[in-house]
Amino acid sequence: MQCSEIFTLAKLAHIAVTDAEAEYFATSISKIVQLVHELNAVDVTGVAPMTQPLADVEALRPDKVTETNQVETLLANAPQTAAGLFLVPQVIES
Amino acid sequence: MHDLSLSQLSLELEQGHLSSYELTEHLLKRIAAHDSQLNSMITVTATQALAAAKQADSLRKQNQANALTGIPYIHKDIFCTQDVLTSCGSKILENFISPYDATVTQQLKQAGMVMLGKANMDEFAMGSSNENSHYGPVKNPWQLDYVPGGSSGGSAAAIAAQFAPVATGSDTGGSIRQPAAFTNLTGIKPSYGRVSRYGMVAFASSLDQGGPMARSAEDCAMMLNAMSGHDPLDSTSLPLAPLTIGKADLHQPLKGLRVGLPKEYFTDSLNTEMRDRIEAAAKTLEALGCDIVNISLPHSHLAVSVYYVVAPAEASSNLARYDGVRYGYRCENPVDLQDLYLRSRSEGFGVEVKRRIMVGTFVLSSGYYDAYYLQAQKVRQLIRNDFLDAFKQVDVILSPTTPQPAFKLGERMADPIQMYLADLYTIPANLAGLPALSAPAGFINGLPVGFQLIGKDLEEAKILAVAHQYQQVTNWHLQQPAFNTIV
Repeated sequence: MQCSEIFTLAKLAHIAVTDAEAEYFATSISKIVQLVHELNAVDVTGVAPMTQPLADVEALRPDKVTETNQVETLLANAPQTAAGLFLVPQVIES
Repeated sequence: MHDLSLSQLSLELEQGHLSSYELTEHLLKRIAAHDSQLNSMITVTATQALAAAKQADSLRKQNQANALTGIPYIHKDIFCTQDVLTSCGSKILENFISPYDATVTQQLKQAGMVMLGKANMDEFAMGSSNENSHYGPVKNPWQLDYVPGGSSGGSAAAIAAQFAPVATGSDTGGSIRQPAAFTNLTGIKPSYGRVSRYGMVAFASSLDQGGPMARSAEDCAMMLNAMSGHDPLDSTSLPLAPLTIGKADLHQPLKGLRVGLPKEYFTDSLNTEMRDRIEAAAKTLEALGCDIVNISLPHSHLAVSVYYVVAPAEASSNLARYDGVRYGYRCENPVDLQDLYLRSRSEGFGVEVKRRIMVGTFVLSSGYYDAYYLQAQKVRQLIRNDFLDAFKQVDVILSPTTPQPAFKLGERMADPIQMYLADLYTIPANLAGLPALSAPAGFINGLPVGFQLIGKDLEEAKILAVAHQYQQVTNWHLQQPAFNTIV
């Protein structure tokens, strides 16, 4: 894996990497990709992908309101808030 | 009193020889005096613990106590605790005070247990040595220059050092069993869906499972009973009543129980001394009436590869939530929204977490999804099928928990693949969703090692019974590190 690919992955993952970090990750991630590459040789004809171990659990629940208003509690952990909202840097330039 | 097990302490409390307050105060003093040598705790909640102990004592006076009421425990910092920091070992959550309790936190509170504090861990449970914590590495009480294992390394070191009789852990690829093996403890990863994941910070959702760590199988059973049961708040929670594993279950007859030894786990790459310990454990089980059967799990060698596709893929998705906006770390003076996301995540996550997020992003990206992610999910099914086939011939599977005993701090940090291979024997049970435990099997050069028992779906009671009866005729699990005689 090249550094350029690391920069692309980092961008997709919303992570900033320096040149030195890109080089480091290129080496270690290449090794991981080499390791997992062995999976391609396995014959999986007719095998369905296993997404999780539970075959028959009903994941749906009734669409009912169960929570009360917790705006203040939920905002308490936010780095910055204003007027009951999460505050972020200006998105649309004036 | 710190050397007593959970079941012994439970009796002492019941008979009035000891109050929860005295016990809690004693253990808090022990942590305050000695944890600087181990770094097993991220947060100690002394005031809340003493208040909870007082309440437990008054419940006992009113005859409203159960076997766990007033028992102190240490909670892995992956479980949300209302009003107490839940850092998950990360800088990105260094200020996170959860607005709610995890279901497991609630269950243990309701049982009347006393939380002494939150245990150190690898950041987001990603690691096998507890060296990936933002709060510093944890040391192994058996030898202070060795790792305690990970990711539940703080929980493991704390129980081994007798800071508490029990702790919670979580296990995505071996994070309860491997540290249990490295510190001479017993720990069980229950069947997937047995213990609620609600409020347990998500790493890889199809693999994560919470469970107990303790100094015996019996103590694990008592704690697991309280942690299990259906939770409507977790859509992957099994619709089953809480476990009620008791003495009768633990003493179920083992005569004729078929114990499988998978040949793929005993190859030439296995340390010969480790092989000897596991074969000795098999002999002991034979003496207890079990039949030893050779079996094959032909896709075992692919488990680490499947895991390092599936787990990072799920992690990259789960960890997308840390954006510096709603909670968690935010970088200083972001110039725009993109800068805020990028720098908050880059400054907030450690190296291993970033690596796994990027691996996950890679295997899920267009052009690679089918070749890596989809293929890994199919091989995962083959690995589960291996177990289903094997369980037609045997009732439980015996193996080493790890290929070697604990390694030295710093020894494997340069090579992530070497670190990943420490979980070679534990990963398959997570991929298959099966219950699996580790229990002490002896020592190699003064360091403890464990054997692993993997059970059929939902057969936690059976593997705990095997481990319990093994512990009635062996004393490996009773051995203590020299650390405990010095301090």
